[in-house]
Amino acid sequence: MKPKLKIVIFDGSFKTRPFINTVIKSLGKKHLIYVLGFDSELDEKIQRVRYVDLGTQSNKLNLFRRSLGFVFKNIFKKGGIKDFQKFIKLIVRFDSSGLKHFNFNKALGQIKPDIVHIQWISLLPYCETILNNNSYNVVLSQLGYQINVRPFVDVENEVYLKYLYPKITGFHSVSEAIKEKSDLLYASPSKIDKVIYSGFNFSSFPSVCFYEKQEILQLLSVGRPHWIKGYDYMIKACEDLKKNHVDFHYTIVGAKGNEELIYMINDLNLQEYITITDSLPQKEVYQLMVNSSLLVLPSLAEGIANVVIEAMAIGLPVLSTRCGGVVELITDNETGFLVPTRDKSALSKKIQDFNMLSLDRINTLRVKAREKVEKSHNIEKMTTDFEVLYYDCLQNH
Amino acid sequence: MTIGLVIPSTPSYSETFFNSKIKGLQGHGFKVVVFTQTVNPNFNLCEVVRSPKVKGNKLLVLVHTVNVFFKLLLHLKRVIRYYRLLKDNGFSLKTIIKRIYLNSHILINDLDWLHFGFATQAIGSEYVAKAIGAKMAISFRGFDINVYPLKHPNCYLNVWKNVDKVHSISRYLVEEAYNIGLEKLVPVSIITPAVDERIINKFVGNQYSKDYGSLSICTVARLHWIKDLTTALETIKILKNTLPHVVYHIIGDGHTKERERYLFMVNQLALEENVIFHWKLSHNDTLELVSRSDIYLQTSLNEGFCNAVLEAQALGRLCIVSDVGGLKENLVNGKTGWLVKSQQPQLFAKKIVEVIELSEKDKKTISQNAINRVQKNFLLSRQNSKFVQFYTTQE
Repeated sequence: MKPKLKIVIFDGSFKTRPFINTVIKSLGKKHLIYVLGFDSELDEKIQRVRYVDLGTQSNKLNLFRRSLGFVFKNIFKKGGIKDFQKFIKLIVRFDSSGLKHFNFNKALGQIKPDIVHIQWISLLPYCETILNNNSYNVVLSQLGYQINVRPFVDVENEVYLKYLYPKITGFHSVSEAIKEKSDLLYASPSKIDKVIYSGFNFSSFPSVCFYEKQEILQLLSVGRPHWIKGYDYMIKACEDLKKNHVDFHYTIVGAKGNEELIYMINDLNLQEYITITDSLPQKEVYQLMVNSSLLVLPSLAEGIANVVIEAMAIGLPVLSTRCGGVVELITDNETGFLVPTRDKSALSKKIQDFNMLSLDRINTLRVKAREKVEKSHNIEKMTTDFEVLYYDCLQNH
Repeated sequence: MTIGLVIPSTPSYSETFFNSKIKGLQGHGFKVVVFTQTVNPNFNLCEVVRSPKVKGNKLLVLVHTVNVFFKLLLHLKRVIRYYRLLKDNGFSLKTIIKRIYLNSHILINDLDWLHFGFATQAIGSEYVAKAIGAKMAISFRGFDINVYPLKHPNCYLNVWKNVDKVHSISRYLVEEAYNIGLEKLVPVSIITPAVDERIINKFVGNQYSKDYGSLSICTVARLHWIKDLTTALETIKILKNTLPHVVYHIIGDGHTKERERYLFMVNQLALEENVIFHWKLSHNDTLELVSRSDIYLQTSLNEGFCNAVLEAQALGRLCIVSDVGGLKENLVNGKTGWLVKSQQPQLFAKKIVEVIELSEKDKKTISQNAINRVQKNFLLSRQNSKFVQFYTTQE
């Protein structure tokens, strides 16, 4: 039987990503899970998980009190006096960032975890000490902008990651595409890098939703208004759709107030064709998906795009650019539709082709899409995969 | 005559527009006071009054508030007049108190004109000029009219009610302002940005590359979406197919997010060999680089006027720019440069190829036309006298 593990999850905050929450819930039944964060409270704590407060950045007094707590708890132990001196130095320098690092290291010292799982590349600076001392098994999750873009446009960041990556015990990549990007920074035969797809709770949608072709083609995108999402290309594609007399409406959820998008919509006279809303609660997003004709992901780069998995599970057809991990989910014309990135004409053409498809053809595709995500993106598989990754790291370290 | 100029920060040495305006006015016997949030330590052209503190150390803000309170006591009559103006226009007591504090640095000064250097800066200070018995002027820049009101409809309602005179950098911005409520009765003066002939003359006369293989294209733009560098980079991508050695220089910087946006685009389009980001350069270095380019390219989604395009013409460059906003006044299509439909990389690339294939004689003609037009209409000395007229005459 495999040993019970002490696992530290470090996300910077107590409010970890939904997919990690699901993993924690499940792993918590077998292992000891600690969540470290620069927070003092959380509305809905996950049962059996221990939350360790590292002090809050916004409240300096709270940060100071937490550091003081760590110092006095260890004052009579080995290294206690040294910690006390370090603490005084940080206070004299008003170094709140230093206090945060101090609290993180002290918390780990108390827990003595088997695995420290870092959720974001941007949190690596906190782990420099433990990585340099090789004190714990560190697992790093690789996703999003921080692996897709930053190291390839910021030389300093690239050098930093190339220096730290070999010291990390194991990696979690959210897609094969991300794994490839990771290998550009550090590749070695002994590198542990496991692709673990995010898992989805299919019980919320026991089967694909009812779908009918609507009079007005309802296009939907969901996501923050960052340039990486490629909404500017999609808005230009909408201009093309309008020119071609396609009856459509495009809704972007979560991008309200973005000046660039508002400007483009006005400039291209698309005010009646495009609506931008605030971010919405998950339930409302799902309802919108049920009422839409096509989800569009015009992104320039993505790890995997959970919104695509969700749409496929619900039964909403997806059109995406060939942006990283999405091609692992979608086979063009079989489980969805793919177009090249940065190509408004291709987006517009594919939407028009989709509009001409028969309902039978769309339904066949929707069922296949659901089968695909059920197979690769279920919670059980995700949880087991994480457990396997942790044990691999223990074994090889 | 005393002019109070409200601007977000004191102009740095290289910002010709405000520096020259201030010097010009002083030269004609005006007193200029700058009201601002940020003071550049090297700025010493005129008196500077800093706006009251609202952020930072709570104790300092408190001390500052007490100080403001006592200063205002000495100008109680104005404060009461300001209070009444705001009350009569339906503002709540809370807003009135907030505005008295935020505008206290202007309220205690004697001015003939209160001039907001950007229209957006007048929001929240619309009744101050009236309260101190001064006239209110505003300047239109691209962002004020092209972008801000889209996100904040009716943001200028109170500005329109109170403004005595408008300065705009182009006719286009005035027409747009009429569409969002500026009354046509309000006097308007169009004073475009201008070039400093003494600086420009140092760089005029550089030759174009004869070898198209080494075509050099240049843009001066901060890295902001309104400049639409996406279209510019896509244009370069298209050109690269026939001119593999084309070099595109971008002079200008922006926030990290925007820097990464265009660096990533260069990476994705494999243009690393063709695109050089120079980030922020001194005015001198910028002019030097522009003057050595074959083509000056400006693909902006919109522009109030665009000083960079004017300078490129002054340097005799072959300018290819979007047919939007104030650019249509800045450049005469086919005579001093070329206008191309915005957001159309195919059309920009086609125009660039057409231009480089022109005969040397035709290039020279366009270049000389551009220089002549700038020298005739857009010199700093002319701008200065226009500003003097702005405050002294009814138009």
